[in-house]
Amino acid sequence: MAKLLITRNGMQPSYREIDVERLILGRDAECHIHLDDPNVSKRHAAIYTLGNDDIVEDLGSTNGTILNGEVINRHILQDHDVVEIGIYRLEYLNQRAMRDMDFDRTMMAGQDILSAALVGSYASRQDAPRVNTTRETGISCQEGALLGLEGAQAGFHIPLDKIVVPLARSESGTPAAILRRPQGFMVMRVSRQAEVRVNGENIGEAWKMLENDDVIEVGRSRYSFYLK
Amino acid sequence: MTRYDYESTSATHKGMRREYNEDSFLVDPSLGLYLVADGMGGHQAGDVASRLCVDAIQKRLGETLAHAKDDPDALGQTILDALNHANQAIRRGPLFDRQQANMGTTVALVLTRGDEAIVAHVGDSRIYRLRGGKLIALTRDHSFLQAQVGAGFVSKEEARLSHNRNLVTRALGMEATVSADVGHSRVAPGDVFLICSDGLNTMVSDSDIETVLNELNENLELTGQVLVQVANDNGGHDNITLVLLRAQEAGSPPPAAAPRGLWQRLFGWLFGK
Repeated sequence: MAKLLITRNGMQPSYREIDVERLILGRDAECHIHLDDPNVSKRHAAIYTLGNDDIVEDLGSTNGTILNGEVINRHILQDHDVVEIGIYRLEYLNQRAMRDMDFDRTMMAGQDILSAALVGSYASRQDAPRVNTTRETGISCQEGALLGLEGAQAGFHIPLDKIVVPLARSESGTPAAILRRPQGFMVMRVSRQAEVRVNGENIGEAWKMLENDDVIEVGRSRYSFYLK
Repeated sequence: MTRYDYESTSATHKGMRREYNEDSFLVDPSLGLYLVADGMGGHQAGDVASRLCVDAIQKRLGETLAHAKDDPDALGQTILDALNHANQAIRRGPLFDRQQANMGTTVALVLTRGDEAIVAHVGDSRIYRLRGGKLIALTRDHSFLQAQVGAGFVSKEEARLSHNRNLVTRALGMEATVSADVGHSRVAPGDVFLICSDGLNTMVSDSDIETVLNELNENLELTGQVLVQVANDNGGHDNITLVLLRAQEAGSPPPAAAPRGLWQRLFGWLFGK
């Protein structure tokens, strides 16, 4: 279960677990988290839970809810996010989120989630926008390019700015391609009939990691590889 | 009616973080059946569930397909029947092994018949189609996150921050009866179908998948290997399994390769290679 580390004006912090479905924060003494500050609205913000997510939502407060320095209406809380309301600072701590692979393991949603009215009726709506579930990889790749030495692309610089870039493509097919990987660029044969040489050596079916100034030959085309 | 030949390949890998591969797949050209299943449940029960799913569907369709009428609706019913058989097989499983309680599996399958491809899925395994250079998803995930977005509770942009991407709302083994999405797609020459577990599409963007399919699909086997490699290069948080199939009109040569091969063989012969 996630919790909030609550600090008032830099004083000794206290913890509060997010143990109710909809946690109300505000100046009103009835609130789950009572924030005693005249700049806080009576019912200022709420944190509610949807599946694995805790979502903070401003309840139309006078002075706003600040998340990591920016005013927000609503936000899916991430581990170590900081919510500021008046003189209070609330840090969101989700120990499950820290071990992020937990959230990659496919699991069947529990009955509590399934019975939530919103699921069944909308789940198969074909006109709903499709969710992009691809995670941010945080992977960065070096920049590389080819210089055409002979063949149709002689004299041209070919940026290797996509995950794969085809080489010496013609109507009859794609003889070879370059794959961009975190550790560098690899050349591979695509067409089984093609022959791909790196510095004069036939690579066969192997994927060959390229080094600066390597020369690639594909049929009658030649390229020089360089890192930017 | 145009008849098609299908070239197919498969690739599977446990990824970079998991100890076991709990995905299963099937490539059965004689039935025209191509399938990916992503198992879940503790103590490797997911592996048991996804295998039970593959075996039960293959066995049942092996018995029933020969008698099924050749129209998409009838074939869809035949597939639903096979999915229900698999569901029961998985739900019977726990009687023999308490550890397998609460096991389940997603399934995404393509059945080719004449010029139609019947697509069916339960859970968050996907079926994509590449046509004319554009990749589209033919399935919509049965996931909690997709439901939240569909209901307007979460925007597409916010969805990237969600921790709910892994929660499926439907799976085989989960309930007494199966609720599957079944559809069909008229095949066009050169269509490439990609069936995959979420270990691919959570690690590789749709646009990168599209690029890889466009540039490499002349060598389908390499395409599959590269997609798995890219998923692992991006972190490989989950098992990665995919099946690829490409349609070509029956009797036509595979794209691109043949003329060049002939020319190159001649060239090689002339120059003594």
